[in-house]
Amino acid sequence: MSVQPQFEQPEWIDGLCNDDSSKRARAFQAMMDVWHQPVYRFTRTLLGQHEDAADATQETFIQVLRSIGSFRREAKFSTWLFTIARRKALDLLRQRKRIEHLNEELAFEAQLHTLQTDPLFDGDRALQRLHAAVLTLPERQKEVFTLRYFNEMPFAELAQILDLSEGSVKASYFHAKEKIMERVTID
Amino acid sequence: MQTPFKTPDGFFESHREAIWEAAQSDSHRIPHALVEVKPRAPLAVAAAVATVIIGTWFFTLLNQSDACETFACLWDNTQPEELQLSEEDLNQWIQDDLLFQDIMNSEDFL
Repeated sequence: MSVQPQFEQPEWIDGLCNDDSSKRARAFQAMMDVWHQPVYRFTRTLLGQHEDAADATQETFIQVLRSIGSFRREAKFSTWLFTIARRKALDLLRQRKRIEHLNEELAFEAQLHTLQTDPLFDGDRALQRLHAAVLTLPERQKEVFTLRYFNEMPFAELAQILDLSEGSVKASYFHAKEKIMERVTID
Repeated sequence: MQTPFKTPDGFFESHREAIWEAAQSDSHRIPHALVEVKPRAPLAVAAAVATVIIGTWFFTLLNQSDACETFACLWDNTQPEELQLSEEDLNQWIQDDLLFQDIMNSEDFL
C-alpha cells in the first residue's frame, strides 16, 4: 500500500474548523484573500457571464465551509478547491444549457457578440475572440484549457482534479489549443 | 495574469460578506464533520457492546416459537401474508383445490 504524501497546508485551514466563530471568521477572510479572485476568474472563464460566475463562486465557498472537515490533507488545498469549483460551474452550465444546440460556428459568433456587449468584459478584439473560443469548446477541453492556460496549473494536478490520466489531459489541452488558435487567427 | 473580466465596484467585498452570511445561516454551528467524536473509555465501549449482544440474544430467545416437525404444523403456522403471493394466485389455488375436491368426490372417480 502506498503512503500518500501530506502537503503543507495553509494555517487558516485549522481556523476554519475552530469552535470559536471569531477565529473561523478570521480564517475565512484569510482564505478569501488568497482564493476568492482566482476561483471567480476560473468560473467566469468557464461560464462567461458575471452573474453565473458569482453564483458558482458563492456555491463553491459555501461548500468549502460545509465540508472542510472532510478535506483530507493528502491533496493540496487548491486541488480540492478547484475540484469543487469545477463541479459547481458544471452544475450551473447544465442547468442553464444556453447555446449547446447551436453548431460550433454559430455558438462562437453568439459568444463573441455577448462578450462585445458585456459591460463587465474589458478586452480588445483578440481577447474577445480568445474568450469566445474558450466558451465554445466542449466541456472537458474548456476545463483543461482554462485551468492550464489561465491558472497555470501543472498537468499532474489537473489530472487529479478532473480524475483523468495525465496523457488524456495533455491530449485535451492540445485539441483545445488547436481549436482556439484557429478561432483567434481567423478574421 | 491580466484578465479582461471586470466586476462591479466593491463586488468582491460584498460577495465575500454574502458568502459568509449564507454559510452562517446554512448552519449556525460547525459542520457535523468537524465535530470530533471524543474517544470513550474502552471499558465503557466494551460494556455497551456486550449489553447489545446479550439483549439481542435474549429478545430472539423470547420470540422463538417451537420448531415444527410435521407438515400440518408448518401449514398451521404459516400466515397467508407470509406466502408473498398475489391475490390472483391465491384465488387460482382455491379454485384448483375446489376442482380437485370435485374430481375426487365425483361418482366417476369413485
